[in-house]
Amino acid sequence: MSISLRTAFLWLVVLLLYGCEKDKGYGSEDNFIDQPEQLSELKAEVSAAGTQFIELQWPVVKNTHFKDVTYALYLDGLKVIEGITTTKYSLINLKAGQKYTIKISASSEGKQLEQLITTSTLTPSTGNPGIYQEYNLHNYSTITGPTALHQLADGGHLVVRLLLHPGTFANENSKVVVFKFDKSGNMLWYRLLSARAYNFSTYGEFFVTSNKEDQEGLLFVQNSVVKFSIKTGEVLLEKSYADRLPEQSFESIFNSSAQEVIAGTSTGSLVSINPGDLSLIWHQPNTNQLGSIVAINVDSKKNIYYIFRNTNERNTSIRVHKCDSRGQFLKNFLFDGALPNEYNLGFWMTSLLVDEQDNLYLFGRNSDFDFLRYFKFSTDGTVLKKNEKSDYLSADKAFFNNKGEIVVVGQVDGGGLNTYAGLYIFDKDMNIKSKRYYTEIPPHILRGISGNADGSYNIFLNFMQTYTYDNPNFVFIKTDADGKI
Amino acid sequence: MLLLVLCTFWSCKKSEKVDPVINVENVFVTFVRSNQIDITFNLSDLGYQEAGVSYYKKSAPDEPVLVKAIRENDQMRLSLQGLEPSTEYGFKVFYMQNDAKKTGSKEFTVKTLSSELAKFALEVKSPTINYLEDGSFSADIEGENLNNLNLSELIIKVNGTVVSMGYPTLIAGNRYKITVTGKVRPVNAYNSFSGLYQGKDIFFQSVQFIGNGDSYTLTYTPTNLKGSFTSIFNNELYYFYEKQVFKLDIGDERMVAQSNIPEGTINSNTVGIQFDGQLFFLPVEKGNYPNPNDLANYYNYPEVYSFIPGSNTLKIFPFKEHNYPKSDRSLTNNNYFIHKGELYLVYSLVDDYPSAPGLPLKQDDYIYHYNKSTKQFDLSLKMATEIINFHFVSVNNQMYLLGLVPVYDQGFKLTATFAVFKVSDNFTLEQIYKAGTVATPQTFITKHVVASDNKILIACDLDDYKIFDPSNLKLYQVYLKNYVSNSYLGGFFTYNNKLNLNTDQSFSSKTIYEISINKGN
Repeated sequence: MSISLRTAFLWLVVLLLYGCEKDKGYGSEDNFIDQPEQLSELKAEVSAAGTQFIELQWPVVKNTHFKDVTYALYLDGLKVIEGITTTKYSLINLKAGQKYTIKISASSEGKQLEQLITTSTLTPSTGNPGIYQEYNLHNYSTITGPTALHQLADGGHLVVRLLLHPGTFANENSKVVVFKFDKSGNMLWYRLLSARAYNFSTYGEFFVTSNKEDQEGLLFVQNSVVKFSIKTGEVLLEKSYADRLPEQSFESIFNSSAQEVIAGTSTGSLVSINPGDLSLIWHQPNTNQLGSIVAINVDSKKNIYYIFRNTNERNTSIRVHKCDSRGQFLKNFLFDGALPNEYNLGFWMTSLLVDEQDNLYLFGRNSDFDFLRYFKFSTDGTVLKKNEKSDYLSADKAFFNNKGEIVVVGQVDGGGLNTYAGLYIFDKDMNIKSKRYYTEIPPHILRGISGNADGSYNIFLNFMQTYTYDNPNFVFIKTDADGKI
Repeated sequence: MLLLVLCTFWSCKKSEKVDPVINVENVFVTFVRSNQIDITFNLSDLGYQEAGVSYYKKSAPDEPVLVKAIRENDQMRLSLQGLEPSTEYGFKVFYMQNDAKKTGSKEFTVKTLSSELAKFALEVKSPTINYLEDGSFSADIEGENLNNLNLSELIIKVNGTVVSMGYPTLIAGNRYKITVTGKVRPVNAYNSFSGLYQGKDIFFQSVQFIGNGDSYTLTYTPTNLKGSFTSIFNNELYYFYEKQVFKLDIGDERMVAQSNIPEGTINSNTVGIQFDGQLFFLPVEKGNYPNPNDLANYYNYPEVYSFIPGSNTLKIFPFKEHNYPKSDRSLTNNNYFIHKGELYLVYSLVDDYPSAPGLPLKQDDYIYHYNKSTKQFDLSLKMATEIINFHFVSVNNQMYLLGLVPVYDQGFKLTATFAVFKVSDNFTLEQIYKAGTVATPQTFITKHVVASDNKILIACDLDDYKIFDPSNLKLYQVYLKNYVSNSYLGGFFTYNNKLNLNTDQSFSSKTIYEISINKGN
């Protein structure tokens, strides 16, 4: 067979073959359809956010032509990072509670997708944000010792503490220091006073209150009163009562009116002081019983009540004295603080409140163990309510909050160096409405507390110094409206 | 025969040679990877043949591996290689001395990084990091693929404190850097960087931090001279030891006894200052019993001794005008200084107790001038300035007074701070420098002061030197280049026109160190 014949035969076969398939529309040209190169959908979303960061996450974006896809992020129009191949990224160093527009772009050679996300960082806490402040005056001094606290009408505070410093030249290593803080805890001024001038020792206590519509402050230290300007801290007047109250120190004060501050002493003297010229209005020396007056309150009939710690009784009795408006002794109330399942060796009562209906509330603790004690009683000493079961709170301070409830605060000992503040709220029937323990901050000693109109608290404290936590600064924390730090 | 004796003598001397006690110092884990740990350390003295570490898995301490170190610039360096990731290793440093292996007792523990994070290969490339006066610094951490780190899960710490960081920026290829900023204690030291990513160790490195501002460094250089408490007289070395005066024979390297010290005079281990052909020693408290039967009359007064080498005579200078009952006052601030070729003596008498509770302690400060013609001390002045722990020093014919002065806050003296006064030749004072602020003063105790290169070198402690520069009224911290072990701060002396320090008290060496101060890092 010649070549041409063979070719013709082949062609015949081919044609025959094609003839068979023709119906199905096959042709000889390349009909491959090039898929357009494209990227799969970019669906980024915010997967996490904090006060300072926003984390985005997205499913992998694929290139139909198997090219590498990388991502870039823009924060408010500014390119932050590019060339990312992971599908999770965080924008950092952001401001809390701020809105940000984030552009994320996915790109591979020549192709690009973009997505815009508007989101916000978190605000530190909702509603009323808390405040945290630390104070120290010098790198060589520490703010320590007893604390006197007085809340001013504008929400600010007068705080008195002891300042320890080296005794290098003066041969004296402590000062009484008075602070004025505004309601946000900013220190407006501090005033140093010689501790020795008032014979003040670290074991003593001092008290502070205000007068003249918060223009003047009054510091009660040992048996002296110092009047100072609340605006500047300047000392306006000083008076020592050493002649009338020898060998005594003030142990309690009650600011009863613009014309009178009642004060009780370590030997049971009750005095009324004119806050203007600091003169003694009256003086009731205690001649019968040796003991100290530690908390004073006054009912609507101007009767004076105070906790009396009889020295001879070693705190075995819980005593409240009732006096008339000039401090003349009227009556002695005795309360039984014994509770089953506790060693009832003695009691250490610390707070006395009077409500608008002249109900009295007495708070304190088992003096040897950290168990709460409380009594509600009438002006004639009839006990209306008392605690029946043990409650682990070393109660120290009590005050009415904005709802007329009673806030009782003290330390709770968690063992070892672990101690923290506990805050109980009682209704006026002395039912415990809530308990809160400030365990979210390092172990601390509560130095003072006051309440604000919105339900928040101002807490002053010192942290415990442990091996792992070393912060001797004086600390102010304003809680949120729920009392949360 | 003589030769024999000599030979015996020399052989005796030879046998007294004791091996120095070598201390392992400055052990640093400089870098940790998932499979490698880099370590550097120093050895205090020469005499070792080799050194290194023996390391082991903490889970298998019985299978130690020895790695010998190489030496670079007096520093020993080595790497533990081929380690397993996320594994704790322990190591101890050893050295060979006289063919005996001596292993340090201290065990160091390091954990290698996790391997899955090894791809990021974080590293501070810069060998040193500069910090500003307040300790703030900025450092670049380089690594691979850092763009892919989810930054909210990355924590970088320096010495355990979290530092703030920025976004990764591209260097080249897939190499990125993250810039971190933070604060360290403003001293030249090694600080450790560490990183956690998703809770796992990703990074550990020790890096040297160096102050950015003007600074000075002090270097101790050992000399061939031996002995502690050196007094210099006519450029020869004298020693006042237990009741005897010795002179160092430098050629023979031996102490030659000169004379005895009379009982109750010059204390042993004290240093004299040369002036007017004598060595003057600091005043001491001299007790006196006018009536041996009535001890109540016992009183003290300051007394100065001088020694004249050559004639080996002792002179006594009693200061009986300042007698005081024993245990009532103390002698302090005693010092000599030479100004414009004149010798001055200073001392203070301080009450041990306040005269009434709460009152400051009474302090009387006296300045005496040595009269070369009468060869006696004349009272120049009783100082009236409230200053404690003070020293006088003369720099370029200008007198200065350094010491601690009160820091006042609201009129109260709350603490003390370092101050410098310019002192005229008739001792009027002008305060030219007060360190720190009311809130942050600088309270340090000056032990020795010496003029050096138109500046004042202040020694507070063996590792705490400062320089006050009167030309710009600035106080500088002096950083140490090296350390001396078994040392004490015995004061400066000048020998062969070089500043030396009495410092080494190792029984075997007692090496005298020359000190040099250099500006810059």
